[in-house]
Amino acid sequence: MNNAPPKSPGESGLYNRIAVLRAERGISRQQLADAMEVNYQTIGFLERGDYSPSLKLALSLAEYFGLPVEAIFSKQPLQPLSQQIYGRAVERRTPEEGKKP
Amino acid sequence: MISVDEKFFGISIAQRRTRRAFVIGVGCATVLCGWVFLHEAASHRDRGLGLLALLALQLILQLPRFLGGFRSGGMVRPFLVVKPAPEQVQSLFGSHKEFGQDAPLDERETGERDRIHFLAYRIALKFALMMFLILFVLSDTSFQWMIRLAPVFFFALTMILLGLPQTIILWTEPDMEPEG
Repeated sequence: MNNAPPKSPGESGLYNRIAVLRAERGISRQQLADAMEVNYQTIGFLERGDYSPSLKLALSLAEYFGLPVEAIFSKQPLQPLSQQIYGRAVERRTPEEGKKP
Repeated sequence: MISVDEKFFGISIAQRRTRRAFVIGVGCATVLCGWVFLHEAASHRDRGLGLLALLALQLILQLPRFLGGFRSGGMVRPFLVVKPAPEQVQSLFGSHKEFGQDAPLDERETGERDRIHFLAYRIALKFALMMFLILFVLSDTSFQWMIRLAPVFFFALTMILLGLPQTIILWTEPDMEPEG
């Protein structure tokens, strides 16, 4: 299974990290679908970016994964989470490190 | 939106090509039964309907149920499922899955159902207008045999329309992925 964020936004025009987050937590599509009260096929459509979820479903997903909505869905291509977090850490550290002798 | 167990007469309908084959089969069977019904009804006009005509009529009425959409048991899940109250589920009917009760459509499926019904409506409207136009144009020409066949065309149109939304769903819904 390819866990990288999708390269193209699919029909919905939205990029998302659902597949990555699901794999990270070891959850099956069916388990996630049951938690969201949707059909498991809908999770597949969401992961491929072929379906744009309602605000309610997007918020439910965010709540389920414990992340803000913008960390799961984006109109811009998403970077891998590790790269995004590591990148920020480096940016934050660099000015302080510069002061050190 | 495909049936919960993804099987029809024991055959998996997860693949789109299998679903299309079933749709063609149901369509052909409906047309055949329609032809038998009209032929038999015409030949028994003075004595009521013949046995074969009644049998064909019964089959015609049953065939759209295979496509589903209205009741459980067809290839398409019911478009509208009224969720029983929890106490009813426990005391009378058992759980949904035990009795093969289809779950209500989710938000994507509801949207898709509405889109497909609108598409079916547009197709039906265009088809009906085209048929009226053809019959109007041909009414003054030598194609009188076609005018005599008008009831057959309208019968076929009605039969097609009865299952058109389900047919579109079965024809267009992509291959179903495994649950994992």
